[in-house]
Amino acid sequence: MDTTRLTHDREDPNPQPFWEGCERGVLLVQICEACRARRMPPRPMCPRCRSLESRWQETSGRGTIWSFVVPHPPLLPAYTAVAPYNVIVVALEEDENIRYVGNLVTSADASLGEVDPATIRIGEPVRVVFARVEDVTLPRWVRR
Amino acid sequence: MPGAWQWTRPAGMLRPVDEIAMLTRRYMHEYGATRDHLANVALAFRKHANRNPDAMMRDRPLTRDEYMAARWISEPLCLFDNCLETDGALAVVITSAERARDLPHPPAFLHSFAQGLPQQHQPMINFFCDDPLRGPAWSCAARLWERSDFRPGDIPVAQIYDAFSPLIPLSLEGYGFCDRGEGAAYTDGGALEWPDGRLPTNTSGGGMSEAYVHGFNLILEGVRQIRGTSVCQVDDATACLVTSGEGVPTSALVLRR
Repeated sequence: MDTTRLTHDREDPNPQPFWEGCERGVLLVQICEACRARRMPPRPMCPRCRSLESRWQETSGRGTIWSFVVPHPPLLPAYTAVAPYNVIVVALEEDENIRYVGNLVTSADASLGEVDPATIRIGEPVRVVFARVEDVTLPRWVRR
Repeated sequence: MPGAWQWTRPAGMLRPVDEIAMLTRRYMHEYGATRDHLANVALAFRKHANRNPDAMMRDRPLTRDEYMAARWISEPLCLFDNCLETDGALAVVITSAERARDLPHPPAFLHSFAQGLPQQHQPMINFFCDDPLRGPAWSCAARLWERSDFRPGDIPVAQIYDAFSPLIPLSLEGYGFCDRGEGAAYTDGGALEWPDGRLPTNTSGGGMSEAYVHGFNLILEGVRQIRGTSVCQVDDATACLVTSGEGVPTSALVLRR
């Protein structure tokens, strides 16, 4: 039985700067060099002006909870072990249309199931933390 | 995890139900929709299935209390907000109107059809764009009605893709049966129920209570309504809307007599 957590795509070169940012402890967002529009998930072309020039910008690492769910089994084994847990979508403080999917945790390395789901509210302010999961680093979120 | 999934799967957003539940929670927050509205959908379709000898849920009535007590799958969605799992095989025969004229069964005419998706859409995880609650149904509907002599107000019966109950209020808004944010309230008062609702919907039980054959059974039920052979036959079914899924690149058609 596969008990591992799912991790990101190491074959796809496009998002690698994002994941390398996580390794360094910074939450990045892709930004268009031509029109300065931010975009997430990363992609080669700006959806607003079609420029192919982009770079990566450090974010505030702060946001608010835009929505959340609480998955219950049946789930993959590694997730069943911590269910029910939360999954949140966070809207970035400086650009509410930039959103990240993650988990609300009590500290970077805490179990995904430690926050009581009944206490989670849309609009709650959160900040990013980084957790080492197997051989990658994933962004997670704590209350602030 | 390849492609778009790398942004969601590691956090434990593993299944389609988790993805749609995320949009549902936001929809409830923005518009005051409740689980009672979702129950309206589940109960209406179950009532239709209870009349349908071919429905998987023919002999399984569902009450509001049972709905509210059901186990969670992904909060805020419970067991009965999900479609069934079904192995099935269906077929439709498409031919010219001229050839159909002397066939043994009355034909259902393909009046209008369209496909659509909005800019920067991410299938199932449409929460990265500027307006996540304005899904592909809106884009599809614009073309569908543009090519149709019928308007939403002329449609007496609908078959709306229902992998999950919240796709119904979202689709009702997208296809123009009500204004944005009003899809949940639209389901009140038995609006989706045959025979007296203002828009009897998924009159064979749909994916949630007849069978989940990826929406194909909705097309067959649309044809039955036009032919006058549904177990929940709507009077004067001059036209029927049939839709594919909201939240993914989608399509829809209007059948008519």
